Amino acid sequence: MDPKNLQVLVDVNLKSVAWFYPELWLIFGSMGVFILDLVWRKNRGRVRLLAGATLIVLACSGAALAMQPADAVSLFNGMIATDSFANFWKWLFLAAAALTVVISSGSQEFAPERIGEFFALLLAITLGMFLMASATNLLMIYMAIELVSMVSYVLVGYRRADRKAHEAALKYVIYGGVASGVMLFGMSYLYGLLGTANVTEFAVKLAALSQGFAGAAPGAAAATKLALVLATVFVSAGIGYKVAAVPWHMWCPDVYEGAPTPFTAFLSVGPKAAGFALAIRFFFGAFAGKMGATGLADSVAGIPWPAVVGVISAVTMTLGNLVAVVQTNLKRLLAYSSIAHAGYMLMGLAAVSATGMQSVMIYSAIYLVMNLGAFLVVILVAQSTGSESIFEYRGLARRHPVAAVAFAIFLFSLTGLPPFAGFMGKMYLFYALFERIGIPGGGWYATLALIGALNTAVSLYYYARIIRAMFLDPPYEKAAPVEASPGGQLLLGAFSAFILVFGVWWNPIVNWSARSLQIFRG
Amino acid sequence: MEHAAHQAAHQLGPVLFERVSYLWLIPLFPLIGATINALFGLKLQRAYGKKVIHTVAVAAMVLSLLTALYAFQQMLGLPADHRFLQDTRWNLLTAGRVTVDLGFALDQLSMMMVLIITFIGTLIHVFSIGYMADEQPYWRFFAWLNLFVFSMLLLVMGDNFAMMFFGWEGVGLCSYLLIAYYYTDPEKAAAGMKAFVVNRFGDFGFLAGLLMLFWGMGGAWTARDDMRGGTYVPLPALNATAGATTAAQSVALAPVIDGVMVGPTLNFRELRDQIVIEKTGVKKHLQEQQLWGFTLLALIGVLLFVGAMGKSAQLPLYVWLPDAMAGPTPVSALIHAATMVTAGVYMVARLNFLFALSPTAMAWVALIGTLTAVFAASIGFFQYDIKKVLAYSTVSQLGFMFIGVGVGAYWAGVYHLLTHAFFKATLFLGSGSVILGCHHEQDMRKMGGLKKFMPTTHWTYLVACIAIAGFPVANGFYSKDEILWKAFTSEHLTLFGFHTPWLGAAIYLAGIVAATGTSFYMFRSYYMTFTGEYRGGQGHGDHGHDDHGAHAAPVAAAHATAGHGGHGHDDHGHAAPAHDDHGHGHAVPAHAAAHDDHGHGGHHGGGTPHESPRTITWVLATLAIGSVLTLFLGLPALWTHRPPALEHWLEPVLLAEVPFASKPHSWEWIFQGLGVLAGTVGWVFARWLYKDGKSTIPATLQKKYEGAWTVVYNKYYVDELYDATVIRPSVFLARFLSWFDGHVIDWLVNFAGWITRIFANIDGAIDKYLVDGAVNAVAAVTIESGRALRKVQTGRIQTYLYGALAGGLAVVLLNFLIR
Repeated sequence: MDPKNLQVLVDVNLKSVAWFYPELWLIFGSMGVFILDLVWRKNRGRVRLLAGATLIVLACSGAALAMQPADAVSLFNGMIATDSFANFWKWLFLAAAALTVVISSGSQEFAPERIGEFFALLLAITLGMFLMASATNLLMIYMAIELVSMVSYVLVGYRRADRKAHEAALKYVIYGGVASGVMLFGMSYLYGLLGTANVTEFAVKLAALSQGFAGAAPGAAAATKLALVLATVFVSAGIGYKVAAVPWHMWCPDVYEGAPTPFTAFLSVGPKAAGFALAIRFFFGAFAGKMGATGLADSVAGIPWPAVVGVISAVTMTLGNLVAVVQTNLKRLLAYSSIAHAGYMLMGLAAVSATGMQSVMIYSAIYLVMNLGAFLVVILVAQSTGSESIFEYRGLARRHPVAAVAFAIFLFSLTGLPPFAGFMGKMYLFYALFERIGIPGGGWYATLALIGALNTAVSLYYYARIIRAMFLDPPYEKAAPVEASPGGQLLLGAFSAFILVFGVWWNPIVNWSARSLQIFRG
Repeated sequence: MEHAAHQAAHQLGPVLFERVSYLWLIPLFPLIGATINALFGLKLQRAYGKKVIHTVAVAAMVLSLLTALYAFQQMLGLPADHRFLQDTRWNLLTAGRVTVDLGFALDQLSMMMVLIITFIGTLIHVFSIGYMADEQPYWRFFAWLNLFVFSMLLLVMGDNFAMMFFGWEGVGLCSYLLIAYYYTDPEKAAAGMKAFVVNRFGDFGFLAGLLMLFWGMGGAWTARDDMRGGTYVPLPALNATAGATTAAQSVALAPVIDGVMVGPTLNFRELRDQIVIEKTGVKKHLQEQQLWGFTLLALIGVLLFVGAMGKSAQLPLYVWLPDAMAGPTPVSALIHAATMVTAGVYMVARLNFLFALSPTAMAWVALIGTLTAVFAASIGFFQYDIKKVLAYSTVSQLGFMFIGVGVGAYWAGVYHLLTHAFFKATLFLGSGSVILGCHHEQDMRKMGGLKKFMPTTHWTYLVACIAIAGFPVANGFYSKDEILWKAFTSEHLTLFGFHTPWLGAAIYLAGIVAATGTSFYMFRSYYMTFTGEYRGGQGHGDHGHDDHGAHAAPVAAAHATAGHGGHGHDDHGHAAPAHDDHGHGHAVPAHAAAHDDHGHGGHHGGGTPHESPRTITWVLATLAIGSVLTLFLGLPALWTHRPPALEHWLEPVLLAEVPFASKPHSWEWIFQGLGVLAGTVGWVFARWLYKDGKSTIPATLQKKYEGAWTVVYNKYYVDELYDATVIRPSVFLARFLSWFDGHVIDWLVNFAGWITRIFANIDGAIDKYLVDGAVNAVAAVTIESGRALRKVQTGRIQTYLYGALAGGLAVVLLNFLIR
């Protein structure tokens, strides 16, 4: 390579570091926590100290994020981009990580001797999610997903003595490996077809490619299109496995059940949100035209991916909800519920519009709080009773009213009933679909909205089942008393307050997400 | 109508408003009070007694009143056409292009309402301290009363329909809760339910009218030829339907004509600007629209009025209000006389710019108001329950208010709302004082002679009677006279598409009859209650011994029973000190809680009546003075040669131009004389028949016209009519539907549930046995079989991969199947 060009590349990399401080904090912070873990080996208060150190790292990363210049720029020669869109998600990831640190430091599932590695690896996952939200190059996308996945495999199998955890970790590895392979295969096709690995250049290249269809022999055009579709679907398999969308969802319940519950909570909100961030960047940035004044965009190159995403969305939420109906283990139930919620959020993706994008962002933020809250109750109850069965929740309203009321708030919010924040999130998702219904060719959005509405009704059934157990059923005679630490109760109160306040006063979230719609498009 | 066109020649501009940031505090204080008492009331009451409860509630009201007064003071400092305070907190909802803000607005009309609500509300809270002292769920009462004030303030202060509707439903809920305050009594609980259900009918009309208005205006917001300088602008370019994600964006997208945003709105001020400024074309568009052969505006007006009929108890939806008297008396005074029931009148006045566009809607409002006024007054003639008399009187007076706003004399209707709030609150609280004094007796036949025992109550009640009967020394005359005069001179009303200039005169005639009746039944209640001999105590005195603390009481009662007027008088002198003690017990509210068992009423034990504690009499006196002083707000132009103060104050809000015939001044003098005459006739008859309870004529007349009397006494059997036509068929339908539900729907649901479960089970089974089974097998093979089964392991993984890959390929296929 020409040394002069090489010099330019190096310069770009060096300059890019200015936008990379949040990630750098996470990288060095993760290493630092590993070292501190060794330093404080014998320290009695090591759990608190390590948790504090991890929170400080996250806070520093957040501070760096807040101080970052707001303009959208491409970094590291097109590997990643920072823009207001990525920053929105990064805040969510930081929040998810910080809350998980707080929750897990009070959990008994982590032995104090080994909690340091959990925190350090959590920081590494957060780094991976940061990269997922800002990756603009196929290779970087792959790297980011792998970083999140690899660390997740380790953390799912965290409980060494637990056979369930082993099983879950192994299944996760197998699934993850296959998904990565498939995705990589699809990426190689995309690179072959388009001659670039940079997602921001896809739209232009795709347009050129579809122009080429016209002049080419009929067979060649069809073959090219098949290859293109195949490649796209394979890449989406990698993303779909991260968000747990059907048909790449099967790992989800087993892994959720086997992983330590605080980490399950994190998995259900963090990597899933990162998957959506990546999906929006990949599909909206590369496979959709620019949004007009109306905020609506169309797919390029004649690939009907919005409709396909719509079908996946419908199947995902239906399957998730139907199977959740027959679950009795709360962790499995919440796993299927999280599959269903991935389906709801895919509705926003299928709308291919500014509102659609915004609705996914809003829902992710709210889902983060309500799902973490729900898992927190599961953790508290499991710590007292040693089980996650729904039968342990009978009469919870009398055994621990705070937990029962908070859980009810989270479940109603998950269902999407007003005046809880979940309602407002769902309202925006559905609104994104309604915006499309009137547009010619948008009739199927009405069907999707109907399926979504029916699913919401089904979901009420199993959420209400828990509420009935808590409030109407009498407790078992020998039911273990449920105890929650003041910190845990405080956290429950804070989550509930968030859900209630943003159920009526949602301006801040809506405005924030409206400001964060800018995607770097090259 | 040429007349109208001529008058409307001067162009109106958009409302100029002043942004402030404290209006939200006015409803906030009662909300805080309600929250504290609702959440912690029981514990507070147990720990610190009732004093804490009413301190919280009254303090909330006082703070609210002070904030309202501050706003009033600020408003007075502004020029007349600029008196509009706007306080937008945050955006509640942005859907499409409609934005709903949590916003509060005060213009002259809502300012007046807020002052009435907070001022009279505060007084009634104070009154309740003494009145409710014996009730155990004291905290519940004050929590709900505060909540009511909060809802009512939302209703009048909300700057858009959504907020108003929230308040509208909120006051309905509080009304229900407070009517059914004694919910252990099934009859009272049923009364609450009745109020709630009847109001649902009204609310349905209100909501339908709202939606129709919105629908009707929708067309005005889209492309039309005659707008925007005569050029047709295609729909997409107008951005009329494009969605907005934030409120600011929605405003930015809307076209602006003459500084007025023309676009979907629920905001009263924006709606008024769009309709009033003709250049926007919204008014023309609305007037042109027809629906099912009716002009749309008439339909909207009538439907909105149906809402008002429910809330303001007009024919035929008035039936809940008399039953609502089951609630504690302060509730009747505050909710069912002074504030909530006037919400309908307020709504019509608030939307005067809309109603004025449809003479048909206005005619219906006036007509229903008239019928109600006459009908309810006649029922009031023969009621014996003092609160029932007042209830029918309220219905009748609300009818008068609707006559006012119906014929277009908006300010007069609103003025009557204000005067009525004062004198009816006095009457209700006076009746409350009487009921308390007579040991929870409400039957006027068992009262009489109370003026000796309850001087303050007596005087205040008399003042209020004079006010409502329409003598020029108190406020009622001025509002009623203005309404009837305006009714007589109105000429523009239309019924069924026919211009009916005679309707005004007919309304006047009916109105003057109703006014005579009003005077009659009010003085009847006054004479039955306060003059003659005390008729209570029969059947009470005997067991009064057992449970009554004051020894003098049974003695006095015995004398009264025996009819020894003179001796009785002496004995009362002895009895007085004992009653003074009672007075002290109540007068210091701090001690009220400690006096739960002091036997003031003996509850139902009997004994002589006694004057109420000072928290009650002071409130009565304040309200009675108010009933007189507020007359200065409405001194007619005929006397002073300048518009009445209130009319002048409200002029910028009530701008709708409604034509009235001009008659010579002499006519107006004559009509004022007629008004006084009506009051006098009613009073004279009442005095003749009921003073001192001596006359036997009422009984004779009753015997003679037994049939007619029975019909009226039983309220024309309207409740029975409802029972036969609405309730029983509903119950039958409900039973039938219940049967249908139990036998058909349940079966279907069970069947559907069964199918769903089967599918879910199949799905679960697939997941559990097939997927998990496969994976488990892989795992088991991997761990246990080890190297020996390497070949099998490879094969299994291939099989297992099919799951994910087949799904992926199906998705690829989907790409080609779609379209």
